[in-house]
Amino acid sequence: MSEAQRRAADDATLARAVAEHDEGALNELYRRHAGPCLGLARRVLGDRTLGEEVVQEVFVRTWRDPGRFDPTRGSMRSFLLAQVHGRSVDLLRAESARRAREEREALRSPHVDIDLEREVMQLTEADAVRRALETLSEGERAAIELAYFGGHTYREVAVMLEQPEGTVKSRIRAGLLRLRAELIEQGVSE
Amino acid sequence: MSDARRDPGATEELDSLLGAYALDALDPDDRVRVDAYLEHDAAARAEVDDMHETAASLAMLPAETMDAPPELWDRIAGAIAAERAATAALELGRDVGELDELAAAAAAAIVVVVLAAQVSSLHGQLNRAHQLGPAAMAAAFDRAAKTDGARETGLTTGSGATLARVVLLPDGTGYLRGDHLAPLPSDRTYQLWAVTGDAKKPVTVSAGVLGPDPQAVSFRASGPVRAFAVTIEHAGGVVQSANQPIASAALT
Repeated sequence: MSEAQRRAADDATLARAVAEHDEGALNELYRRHAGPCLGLARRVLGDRTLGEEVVQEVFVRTWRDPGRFDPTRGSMRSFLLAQVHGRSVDLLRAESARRAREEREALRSPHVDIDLEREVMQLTEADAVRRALETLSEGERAAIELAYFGGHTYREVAVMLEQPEGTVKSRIRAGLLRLRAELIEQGVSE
Repeated sequence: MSDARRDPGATEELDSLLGAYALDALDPDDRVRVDAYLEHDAAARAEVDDMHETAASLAMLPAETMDAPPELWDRIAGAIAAERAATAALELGRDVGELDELAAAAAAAIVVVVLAAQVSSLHGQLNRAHQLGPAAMAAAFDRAAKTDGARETGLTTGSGATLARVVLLPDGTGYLRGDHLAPLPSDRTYQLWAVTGDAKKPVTVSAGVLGPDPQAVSFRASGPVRAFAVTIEHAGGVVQSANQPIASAALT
């Protein structure tokens, strides 16, 4: 596959090329998706170096075992981001990382770096996602933000928000379902 | 059939955890339970897949805009090169029967007898190998290859690709050119091993820690060297390798 073909190919085609050991295809997937992956890992971990390590690990794993991506179950972007998020949370929950994070968090308000509206304006999908987020209740948004960007378990989120665990897990699920419906409505998701 | 599928109450409870599952927000015990549930419930699996897509949209809202740095790709490409080298090593292992008997001894590599002197000199080898620049070393390699009594060989993979060339002088001074050794991540290094002794009782000793991108380096080998092999190790090298070599060659 030439570079021009790779640029024109969809993600599923690139994934098949990666399975045939086409390093250029992985490079194209990196070009398309590594930025958001790194942004997410850095945000969850609070550390760019660790974030880069996670992104490297995820892309190398994709090279080693491309069959883990199943195009019938979702997009390459969501696959890579889910891998990055899972690995970031694993790292975060390691005891040493947790201690370092707690020390950092003691120095700042939990809401300072969770300013979704400001960030939304910087990105192509921003407006649609912002509108979708606005349909969530404050409780749903807070639970999702703390779980996803904060890397906390829902039990920890319950303690932080001083809400029953059952309420928090319900809010996370309901919030995600509502968010998805809104994104579909606005043509951002399908 | 799982307990969850028999018990509607259990199913409802597991369904309520799907959102937290999709956000990696479950404790390990709950995660195991949901994993088992998802194995048997296609609808729950589809819901989690959808939630991953939704979470991906959230991930497009980073705290700051991040570009994919080219340096990070270089590290990924280096790691992939190491993966490929490891694959070549496996092929080498499969083809080992076709190699010279002494080169095969190098390929085994597990049977490594380390002389005490090599243990203490390991880091000294590393330092010496990097004292001169690659251009000077490459020139030294070329001069050595033309020296009377010099023995030269190519280190090849199991598929026959030559990754590096070695020249060994009668006094034990050696030079390696790694023109086709792919750069490794910074936490890895190539390491050269010399096989001495005889075919029935080969002795493998470290001849040099070459670094992650050895274009040209020098090394010292003592005793009658019969073969060379190269492995990939953690940065700093090891005194005894547990890895298959990625390339090897008999020295005639």
